[in-house]
Amino acid sequence: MNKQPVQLIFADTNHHYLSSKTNWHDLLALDWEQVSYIAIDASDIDDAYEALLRIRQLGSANIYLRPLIFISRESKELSWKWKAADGVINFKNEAQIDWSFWAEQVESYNRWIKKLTDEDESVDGHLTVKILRMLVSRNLIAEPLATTDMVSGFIYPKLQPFFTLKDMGVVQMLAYLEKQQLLIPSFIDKAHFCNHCDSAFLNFKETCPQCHSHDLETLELIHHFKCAHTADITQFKQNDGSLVCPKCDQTLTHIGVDYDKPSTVNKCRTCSYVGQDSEVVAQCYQCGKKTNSEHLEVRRINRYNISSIGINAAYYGLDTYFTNILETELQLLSLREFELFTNIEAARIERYKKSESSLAIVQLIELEKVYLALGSKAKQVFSELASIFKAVFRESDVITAYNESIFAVLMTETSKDSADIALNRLSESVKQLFSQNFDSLQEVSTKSILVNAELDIKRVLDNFLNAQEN
Amino acid sequence: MIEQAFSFLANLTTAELFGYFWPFFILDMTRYVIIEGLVLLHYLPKRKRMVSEYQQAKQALFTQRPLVSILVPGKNEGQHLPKLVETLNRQTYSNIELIVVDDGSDDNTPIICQELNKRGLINVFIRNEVRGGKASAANTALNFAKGKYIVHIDADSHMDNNAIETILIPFFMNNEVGCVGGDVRVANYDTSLITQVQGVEYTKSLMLGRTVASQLGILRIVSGAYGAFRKDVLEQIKGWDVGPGLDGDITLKVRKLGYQVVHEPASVCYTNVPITIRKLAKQRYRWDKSMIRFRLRKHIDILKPSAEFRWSNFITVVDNLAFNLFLDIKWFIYFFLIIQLSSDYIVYILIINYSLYVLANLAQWIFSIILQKQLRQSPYYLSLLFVPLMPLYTGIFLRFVRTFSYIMELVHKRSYDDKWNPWKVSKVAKENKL
Ligand SMILES: [Zn+2]
Ligand SMILES: [Zn+2]
Ligand SMILES: [Zn+2]
Repeated sequence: MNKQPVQLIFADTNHHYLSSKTNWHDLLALDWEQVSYIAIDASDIDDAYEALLRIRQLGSANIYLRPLIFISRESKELSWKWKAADGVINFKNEAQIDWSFWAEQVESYNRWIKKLTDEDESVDGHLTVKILRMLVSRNLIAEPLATTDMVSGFIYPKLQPFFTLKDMGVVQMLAYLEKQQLLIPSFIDKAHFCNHCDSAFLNFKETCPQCHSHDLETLELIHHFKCAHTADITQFKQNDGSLVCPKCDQTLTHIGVDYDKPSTVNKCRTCSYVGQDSEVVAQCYQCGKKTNSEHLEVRRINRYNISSIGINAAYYGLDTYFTNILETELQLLSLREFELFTNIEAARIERYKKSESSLAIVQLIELEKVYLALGSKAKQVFSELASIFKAVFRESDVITAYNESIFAVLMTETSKDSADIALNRLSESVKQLFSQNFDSLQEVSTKSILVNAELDIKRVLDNFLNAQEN
Repeated sequence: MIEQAFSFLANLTTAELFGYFWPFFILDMTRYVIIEGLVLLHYLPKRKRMVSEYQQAKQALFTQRPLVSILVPGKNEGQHLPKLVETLNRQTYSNIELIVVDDGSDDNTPIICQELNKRGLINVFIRNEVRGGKASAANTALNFAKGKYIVHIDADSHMDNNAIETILIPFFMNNEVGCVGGDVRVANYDTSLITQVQGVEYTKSLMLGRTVASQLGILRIVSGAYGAFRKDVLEQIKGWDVGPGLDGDITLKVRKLGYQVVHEPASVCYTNVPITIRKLAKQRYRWDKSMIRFRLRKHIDILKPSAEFRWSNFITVVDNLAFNLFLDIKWFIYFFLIIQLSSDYIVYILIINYSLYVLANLAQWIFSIILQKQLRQSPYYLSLLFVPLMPLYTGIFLRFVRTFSYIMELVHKRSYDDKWNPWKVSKVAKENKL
């Protein structure tokens, strides 16, 4: 095998597509529906993972959902990166590889992808939806894996490749999807994270509550029933490890029978502190900051099954809290209805040529973070946001949600200039809402287009999304 | 009736008087009126004469300024601590550390203590999840005490502002002193009739009685509710032994080492006493049982001739035994004899006896007022109203409880089942015949 990392195995013909000249541009131009799986040369697992990452991060479901298999001469699979692929082929002799085996294994995945893409692919390629689709298409349970490779300490190997550095962590994203009832958690573990950098690598230290020194001595107390002598264990301990009461010289035999250990006491070797309190401080390996353990971020690390709502959302996109609220406040239309209305409006304008209408697109960037940051309070924020929408747009305007953060508004009888003014007002109000009430920034990006017969809403929205992501 | 009783009394010859009322004249009057009166007659001028020594000791105390550890062991005492902490903050002697040991409380004591600890009002707070008994809790506190002197105090008490200062001064007047008893008074005397009579009792038998015993060198108890110890002495005797009655026990151990045990009536601490007769009976039952245990069983060696034999220790124990245990027996003999010999006059004899004991109590009450006046304390004069009840209280009620508890202890060794000790500790104590 040569250095080219990617082979494509075609479903119908079982034909290997392999060329050292293949570049990404050509790859993307392929007829992906014909591809059964992509075999990635994993002689260097890091390179192979890089290739896998690039595919998973693309926007089209036809490509990013496609099964990916690592092929490797060696069979040592130490890194979690091996688990990122849908499967691994180990071989001694390349000629002996049975390529059709995996074609059969992944057939059900491909069937699901086909079903999805055959239907209206109007729904977005947003991260949350991609995750859901990955889980549904593979009938996959998201299993956490403890790792030292990531500062988060835990990884979901098959989902990790969907995330870029800009995105929130996998653990937080899954928790967010859980809150939306798209995933069903089952508890695996609990972990503490650094408040400053989200690192799971923390050094827990007991410190003196008085002077914060780490040099604390923890002493067990021993109470000898017979003579009531109660003192720290060092006073009882003999060289041979036995316990002898310094008051009555008796050898202690059985805990609970002739003695017990009523408590432990901390003694600071730096100051004079004696007591049972100690502050447990966690120092972060990543950023070095110290946090009182009580203030650490504690997260449950779960295994996730997809819920029936989740399965639905994987097909039809995500109706978030915000869209739900908008829906009740503003009567959101489905994208299909919206398209219909826009087409009718375009036809009307075309015919009478007396007025102008505009299409406005609004994206509230990283709106899901609001949910994460505010929890249940997010609902209030979303209501406030909805009322801003209500104030800026008119009754006659028609609104749809492309995904949980992108909205399209058909502003009838509105010039592009007026639309821009309205969008400006919206942006300002949203930013003000966040800066005044939550002391945070909410970025809004907007775009307006005049409605005409050539307008293809889906394409406009796709372009808008791609422009934002790049 | 009363008139008849007194004409009966007036017609008695001296011999007859003595014959009818010998227990009063031989024992009670001698012990509690004559001896106490004489001792006080000696003590009060002596205390006046020693003012300059007293001043020197006080100066030494404030020059050396040794750290004093206040130990407060207890269970479910959290509610009382804020008041105690407050009085500790107002002390004229301020180089103190407060060590509180919570012996397995099951109420909000740990929360209160942690809060006081956080605010720096308790210096060391240790909570034992499992109760180990009062001695173990006191020893736990002792283990962490850094002071040169140790003051053991009950959580439900509070002190006069100069209490710590005055309880320390005897150590500086005489370096033979191993421990000093503080003067415990009744804080809640005006709550009920029962607390009023206890108020009179405390000034009579604690303040007066112990001051006198201290002067005679036969003080046998430093109250667990409020006492001070030299740390080195406590270390020599290795702290407290399994209770109940651990305060009396530790005092005897200090005495056995040859140190002096003194009472300091100037150092006053106030404690809450039982407010109902039922609770009072229970408390005394517990105290009295331990008397038998410690005097008769554990420290029987004091009565035997040996190298460590000391007459003062011998008298301490004998005085205690005589006036508590044998006087009980005496009363039964006396009543038996009276009924046998002079059943015609029995009512007169009872009335006269009662009057005599009221007079004795009155004498003691006057002594206690004189002592308080000399100490520049303000006596509670209205307590005079309760003096006539005292023979009823000490002579009948307390005696009944005491006799009952002695019998129970001698026959059944009931104090091993003391509910103040965890059962596992009691079990071990019983097995070891402690
Ligand atoms: Zn022992
Ligand atoms: Zn310290
Ligand atoms: Zn960090």
